[in-house]
Amino acid sequence: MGRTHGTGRRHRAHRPLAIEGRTTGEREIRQLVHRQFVMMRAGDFDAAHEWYADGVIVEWPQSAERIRGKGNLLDLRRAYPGGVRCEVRRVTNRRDLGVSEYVIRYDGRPVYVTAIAEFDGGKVVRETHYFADPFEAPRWRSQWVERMES
Amino acid sequence: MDGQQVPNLEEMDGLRARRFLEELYAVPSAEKAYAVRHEDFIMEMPQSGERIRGREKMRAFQESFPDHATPPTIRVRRLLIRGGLWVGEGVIDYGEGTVLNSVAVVELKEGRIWRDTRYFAEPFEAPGWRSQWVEPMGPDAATAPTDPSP
Repeated sequence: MGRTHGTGRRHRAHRPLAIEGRTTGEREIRQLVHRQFVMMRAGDFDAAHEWYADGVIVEWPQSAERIRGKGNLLDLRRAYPGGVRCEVRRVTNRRDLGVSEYVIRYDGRPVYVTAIAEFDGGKVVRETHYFADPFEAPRWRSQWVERMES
Repeated sequence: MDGQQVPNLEEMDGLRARRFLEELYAVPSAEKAYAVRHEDFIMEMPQSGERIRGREKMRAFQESFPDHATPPTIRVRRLLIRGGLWVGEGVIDYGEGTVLNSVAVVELKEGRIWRDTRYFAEPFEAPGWRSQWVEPMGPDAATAPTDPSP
């Protein structure tokens, strides 16, 4: 599997992405994830959340938290500690379902994020996030395992 | 799965797929899991930088697992299926109070599991500062219905 990386400098943070009314592709989702973090770092929370429908539901199962509605999501994100950078590892997309795997860093410590996004009419209507910490590979299984960039 | 016929996973709808996984988790069988994996199977755990390449190695790893750890119980929280993409969310109970949320991004090829990327995420307490924008949800309160179409 060829691992792909972010779009880097080619990313156009200020241009709205025309995804309305059709299936969102993997490249577009990748751009959207990048754009979201770039715009949040820039303090433009409205632009960062363009791809969310007004009635979006965001769920964090690890803490059993649900955010209902784009307004609440925006308010929460505005109150969140800022400046987080994001490296998109992989995007997998079929029809109205897009899964983004990316790494964010707090004080250099990586957190592996999986975002399961369900689209309707080009907007995200439901998104489920998981936040996973790194762990050390157990030695006992090393005979079947190859190392990959983590 | 009756041991004779290997099911074509791409023909399964959401309910059948969920039942299939629940049966597999209830009575773990490295052999049964092996049977539904593609010859070019790859499993990745990005958090530890581990990759298992090939279904033979995966079977050997799974056969060896009980010698090193107590096999956990796994509950399927939600399963989304779209055109050869399975996104499974689960809760893994390792016993003695160790419970993790898990998410697996699974791509099928020719009716078998081809790419299997797994994340393991620790539960955490919902921070008080954001409670005004958040509602609590139960552990089984995923809002999305299971899509009946494969």
